[in-house]
Amino acid sequence: MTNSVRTAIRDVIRQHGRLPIDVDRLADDDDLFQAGMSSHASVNVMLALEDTFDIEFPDSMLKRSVFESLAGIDAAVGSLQNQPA
Amino acid sequence: MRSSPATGSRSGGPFRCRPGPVTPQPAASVGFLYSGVCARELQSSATSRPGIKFWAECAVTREMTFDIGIDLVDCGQLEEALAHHGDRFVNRVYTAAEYAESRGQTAALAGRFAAKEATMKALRRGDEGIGWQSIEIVNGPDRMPEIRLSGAAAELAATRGVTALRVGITEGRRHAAAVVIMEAAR
Repeated sequence: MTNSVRTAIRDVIRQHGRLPIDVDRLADDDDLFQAGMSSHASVNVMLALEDTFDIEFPDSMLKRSVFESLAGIDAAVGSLQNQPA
Repeated sequence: MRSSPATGSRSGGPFRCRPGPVTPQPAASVGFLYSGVCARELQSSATSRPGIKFWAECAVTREMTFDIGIDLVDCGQLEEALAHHGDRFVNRVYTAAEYAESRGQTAALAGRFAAKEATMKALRRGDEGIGWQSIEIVNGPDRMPEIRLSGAAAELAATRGVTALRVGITEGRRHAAAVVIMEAAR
């Protein structure tokens, strides 16, 4: 995954994740839910990611491991972008 | 919180919990309170209290387990999400019936969202992928909320051996909250 994608993901988290801390202080593997992201905020993050990357998360990917870290989101976005249209 | 016997399929199809009669039923809150260790104490006192004996037997012989889920939603944040994502948010989270019953009111939508999340917690969702629409919160015949499961949520409920789900929702101007109790047979 490129740095521009990671930067875009951090921007989405910053804008929609409602974290009480600076997103730039988070490591890629830090737990976003433990950092303060609510389940409701995770919906907003998901929708914003779909807008940003022109993807759609299937229900099977609406689970904790996908949204609990920047690395998890990064991997999910990558897998969806690589899917054939 | 109301007592409500469950009906529905364990085969992965729609799972529906309907409100029961107004008279309390044995499988609900009392069973919860007196399951596990407390059930033994109930059995020991059952000879002098026949009514208690029934409850204790219910808790012990059926080997029921219970889980609770709770969630709180900030109505202001939900309103912002509606303003920002509009129909995409609504269509992703709510069924047509849920949205119609909520009449687009933020507090009602927040209450239903809290109930969905509380249901996922009560089901001990773990890392299962579950869409929000597969947990539907709609009003029963007596206008009390009830939970209808479908798809992955119904499959998870079947795996957990769920026999009943009960939901209580409260909606305020700033927050909405929901509590869900799951009853399962071991």
